[in-house]
Amino acid sequence: MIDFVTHNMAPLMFAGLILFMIIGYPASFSLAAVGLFFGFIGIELGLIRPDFLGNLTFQLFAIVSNDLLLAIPFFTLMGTILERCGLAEDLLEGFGQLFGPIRGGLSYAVILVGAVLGAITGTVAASVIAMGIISLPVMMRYGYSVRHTTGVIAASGTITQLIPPSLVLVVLADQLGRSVGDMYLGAMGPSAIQVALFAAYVALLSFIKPEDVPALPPEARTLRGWPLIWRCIRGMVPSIILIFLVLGTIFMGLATPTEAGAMGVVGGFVLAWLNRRLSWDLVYQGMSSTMRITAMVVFILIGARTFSLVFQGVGGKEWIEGMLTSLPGGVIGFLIFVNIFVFVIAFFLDFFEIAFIIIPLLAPAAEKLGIDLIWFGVLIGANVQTSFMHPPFGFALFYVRGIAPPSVRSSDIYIGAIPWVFLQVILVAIVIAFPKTVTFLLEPAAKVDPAKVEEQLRNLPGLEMLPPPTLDFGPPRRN
Amino acid sequence: MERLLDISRAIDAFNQRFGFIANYLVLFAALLSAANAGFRYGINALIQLSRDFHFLSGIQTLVSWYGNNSNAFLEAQWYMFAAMVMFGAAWTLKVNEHVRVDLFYGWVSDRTRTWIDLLGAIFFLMPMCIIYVYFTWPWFVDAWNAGEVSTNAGGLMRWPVKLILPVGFVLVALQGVSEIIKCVAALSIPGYRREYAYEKPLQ
Repeated sequence: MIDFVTHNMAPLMFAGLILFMIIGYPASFSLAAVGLFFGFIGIELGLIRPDFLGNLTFQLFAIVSNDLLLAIPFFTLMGTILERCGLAEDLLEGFGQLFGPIRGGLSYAVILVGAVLGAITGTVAASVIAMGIISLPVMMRYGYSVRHTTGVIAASGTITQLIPPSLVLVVLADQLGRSVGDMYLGAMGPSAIQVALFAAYVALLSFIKPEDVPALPPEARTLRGWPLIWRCIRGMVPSIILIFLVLGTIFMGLATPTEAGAMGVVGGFVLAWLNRRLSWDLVYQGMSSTMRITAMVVFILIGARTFSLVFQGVGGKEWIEGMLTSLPGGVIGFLIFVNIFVFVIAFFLDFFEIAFIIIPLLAPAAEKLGIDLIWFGVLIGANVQTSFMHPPFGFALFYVRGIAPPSVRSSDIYIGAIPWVFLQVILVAIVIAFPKTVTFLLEPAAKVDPAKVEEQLRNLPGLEMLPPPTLDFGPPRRN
Repeated sequence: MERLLDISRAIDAFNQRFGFIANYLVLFAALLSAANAGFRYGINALIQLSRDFHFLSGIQTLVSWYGNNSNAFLEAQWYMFAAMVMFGAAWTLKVNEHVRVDLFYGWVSDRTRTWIDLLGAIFFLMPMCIIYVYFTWPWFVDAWNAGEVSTNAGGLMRWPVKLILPVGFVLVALQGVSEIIKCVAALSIPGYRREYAYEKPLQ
């Protein structure tokens, strides 16, 4: 018996993880409990040294001193401010009037605004709630089918996950040890494809089921000519400024993703103030919900680190790697397996749990198979989008449920989500089949020739040849 | 039992204060970070301005003061982050916002849920907090005794952030005690209902 446990510690621990998690006690504490419980068994059995758990302190300190994780509160706060600063109204009313006269016009407006909001903020809740409050009643009033309406709103809000600056990509970059900027560049292609896929689906619907997506009747077109253009400009100009403030500064290397998030917060405040929506109430509610989400997420990370530290200590890494690298079909087989696995697990776990528990298990195997981790990360990012849309636990659906009138049945929301989940799966398949969709913007990794490096080292100039140091407050260093 | 519930209420009120601090840290951290980034990239322009206009020479003092302390400001960002998380976690537990896998939890009776919360708090949460305090406290003591300072020039003292870790886990453990008391009350006092009890998602 003892012998069996000693030799199968890693699989047993994995089973323990599932068992402890499924009980339903908060995930962060359950994770830590699995880790510590098996840690002590491991020490008893002599699998790990008694002082091994002392590494936990370093892990904890590494978590709280990680500058990148500060992006979580900043992007969340920015999202809660933008949700109620009036930007979404301006955008949706402008584009709704612009596209309204054609069939499916309001759906195109929602998809487009979802993409714009996605390029400003990094959190799904903000987009879904803001768009739902404004668009849901309008679309239902003009005869859009309930299922289509709730589906398009939830799905368009979920695009935020993939369009930079997405919080999901920040966290994935951190977990995979890649730069956030590269991750963002890589995600540009797939997010454009996704917007196109969604729009194509609406176009298809307007031919095969036109009664689901009617055009606006003439009397509903209140804006025409200059007022309409003015309305669109009023929505787009602040959006473009905010996109520059957040995304532009990251791509130009002016700010770290964390700082870009903070500047986005300030930009959100200014915009809310310009729209006369800035109140202490708004700020305080944003602060307190941000605090709770941040504490929740970081505690999951603490629990997950505890688990993975012990899991690696008992040989879990080799166990998982051995299993995953011996899958039939090589790289493609691995990717298909991993994506199906993540797709299924996303029914039960939310994004942060997947990123903190599952990704560290998969990443070493992916790297061993020679998979580009940026591509892998974007792929996972596209895949976990579905976790927001899965009935019945998808968060985007919760948000839609929260703002929809009681006359909308939950079953309609769930059924309405299904076609969009399919579209997201198609996107994942496209990204697997064509890695270029991710890598075309990225510079190919520099090939290092050891002989040349050595030659350069020999011919290093003396110190006196270096230019004098200049005053430079360079980018912040992470410690 | 009434006295125990008083203790629970006292703990809740105590942790609410820390939650309040954590709320404000969110805002301060964001503003500080934005100011850091803005200042760093506006700095050359500021120096130029102060050269061109003599009456603005005060800016130079400001710039050099910032330059000498920039590492302190950068580190203050994640000190605040650490405090926001560790002070806020207990309050997050109180309002039941630590996410669960509610596959099983969502389908059982209220009484079973209370049992899960009770046993989870005793066997999952409390041991975790105690072990973490056991590991992190000596770290703080070392940093305090050695007067450890950041390795970055002009960086901050290290002991405050190392103190935040054990303090946070003590707060969570305290909240755990409060939750245990509430669970026991819910199981033994008829009609007692836990505030912020889990709500099944609308179907």
